[in-house]
Amino acid sequence: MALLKRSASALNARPPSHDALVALMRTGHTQAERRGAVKDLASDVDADRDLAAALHDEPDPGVRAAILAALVSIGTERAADGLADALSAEDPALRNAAIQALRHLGSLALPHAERLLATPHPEQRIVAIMLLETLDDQRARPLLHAALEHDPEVNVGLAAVEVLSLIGGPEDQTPLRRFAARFPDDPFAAFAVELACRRTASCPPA
Amino acid sequence: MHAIMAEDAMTVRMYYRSILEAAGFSVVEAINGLEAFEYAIAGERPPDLFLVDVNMPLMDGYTFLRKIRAEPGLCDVPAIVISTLREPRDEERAFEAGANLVLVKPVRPDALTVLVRVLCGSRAEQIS
Amino acid sequence: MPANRFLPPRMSALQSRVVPLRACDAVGDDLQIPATEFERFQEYFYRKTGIVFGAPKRQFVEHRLAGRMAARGTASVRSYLAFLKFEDSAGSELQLLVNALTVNETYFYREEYQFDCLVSSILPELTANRKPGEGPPIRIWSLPCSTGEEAYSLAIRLLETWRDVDRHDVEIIGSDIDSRVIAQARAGVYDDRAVKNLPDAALRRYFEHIPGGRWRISETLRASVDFGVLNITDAAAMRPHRGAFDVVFCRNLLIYFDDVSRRAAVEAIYDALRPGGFVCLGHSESMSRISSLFTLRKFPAAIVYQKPRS
Repeated sequence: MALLKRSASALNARPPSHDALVALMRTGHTQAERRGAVKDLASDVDADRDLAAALHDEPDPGVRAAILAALVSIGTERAADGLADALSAEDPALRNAAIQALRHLGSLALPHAERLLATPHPEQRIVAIMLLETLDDQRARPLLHAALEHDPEVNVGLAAVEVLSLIGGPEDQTPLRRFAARFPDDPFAAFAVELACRRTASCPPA
Repeated sequence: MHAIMAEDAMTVRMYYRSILEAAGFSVVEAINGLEAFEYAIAGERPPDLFLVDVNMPLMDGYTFLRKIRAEPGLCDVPAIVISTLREPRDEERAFEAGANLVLVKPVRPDALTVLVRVLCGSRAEQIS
Repeated sequence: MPANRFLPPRMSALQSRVVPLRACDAVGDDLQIPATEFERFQEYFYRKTGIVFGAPKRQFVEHRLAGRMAARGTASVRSYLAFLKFEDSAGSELQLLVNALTVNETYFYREEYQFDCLVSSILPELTANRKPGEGPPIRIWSLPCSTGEEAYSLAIRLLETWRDVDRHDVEIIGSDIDSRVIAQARAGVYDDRAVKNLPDAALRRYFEHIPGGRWRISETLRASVDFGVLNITDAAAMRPHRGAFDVVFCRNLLIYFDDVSRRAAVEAIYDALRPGGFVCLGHSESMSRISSLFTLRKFPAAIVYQKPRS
């Protein structure tokens, strides 16, 4: 019979030392080795700085995915800082992955959202708005309203409209309509605000 | 005519769906490039059009374009990139990745309708 | 699975995957669990297992939780959680809690198009460069395996339809978070409902009919499949399995998880696969919202995912 019963694993279940893992993460030859090292470091809160540094240099998307997950899992301020650094990466894949990851860190994303909202680059301000989607109402709302009422770039306001479509309530209707009034020639702005108002109208007030 | 749209913002998907449907397309919505690719591969026949956003989680628009251009059944499907970015470099990147057309938001319904008909018109003739 | 004759009326509103109460379950009084306490419990359970319950399951979870609290003699969720955190050092109460809350619905040859794909496309590709009798065994993982139907189905399917089954060694492993179903899997006893999809020939060849009108997997087959308790979200428990498997069947597990744990589970599966290995998800599941690590492979019988070779 060709079916065998597997014997108990003879693998050494204990991971190497912290320093050995960091070295393996940076210099391991295979994706598997570097991912393995990252996974082992993910349970070590003190690995946040090393992981953030590795994220910056790692070319393999599979290893990067592991580093991002590890930083989310560790969830310290330094881990959030490491993710935030990647928000301005050249590579859109890394940028988007960093946004998704940072969203999972809740209030740790707030200082970064605030910082990015103050930059002169509209793409960065859009990223900031995307980070607000998972923040609690009290902190996110004033920033979203400010974007709707004052940001000169229509796509920043549109990102805020999108967020409010998902999490907004009746108290957001006035800023939404003000935004639509600021960009009367943009067909999509009118559409988006109309939709958001319909959705937020049926929600209980915050 | 059948279109697959890759776009992670719900409101944007609704907007472009209404334009494409008015132009005679049936539309499948994907929230990222990976999902769009899966729909394209799993379908019985290739779509007639891809409408692609750039910034999406898990697989961005450029990566998606490179994937479909490397796929025998999908490499000839017209792809329109809709982008918020205005850097000329980004437009170049989209074309290099395999876009047929790059449009910058805001996109007017009548403009998109005309463009999809032109892009897909000859294809419709080929199929019928 | 036995008929739902023990279900109390208020559970009838719940959706599909409902576990009927067994007479042996301790049933708590109608405990009204305050919302904040319930949230606290959900948070704890999510941290431990990665499993999230949606709103439709609320009554089911409350009822099961009340049952465990009654069994423990604790009057509040707070004291029950304190027990779990500080006194349950061996984890046996946690195991009982998990068993009470996880749902297992399965039968032989479920979603069998994927077994077809295994035999007609996946195994030929995996064995293309393997000489018969040489190299490590082909390792197939049923995860979660529940009461063993999927793992035994794999074994039977290979023996019945894979023409190279005698030329290559195969190991089939089944893992589940629920120790009770693992015990049932090892026992290998099933009722008529579970075996209804099996061809008569297979039923005759691999089962004995036992008193009570049930079916037991033959001793040889039972001895050939390895079952064990495993929590896929437990990084330490998953570590020994890195790079160990050629094929993973992970059907209808990920749907219970939220985004973060789902991603973590998929990453764990990725690491558990050999390069070039395959994973099969449930009929309505997709990697496309979870991870871009895998390559999509469209085979005649099924669409599956592959870990890149290099």
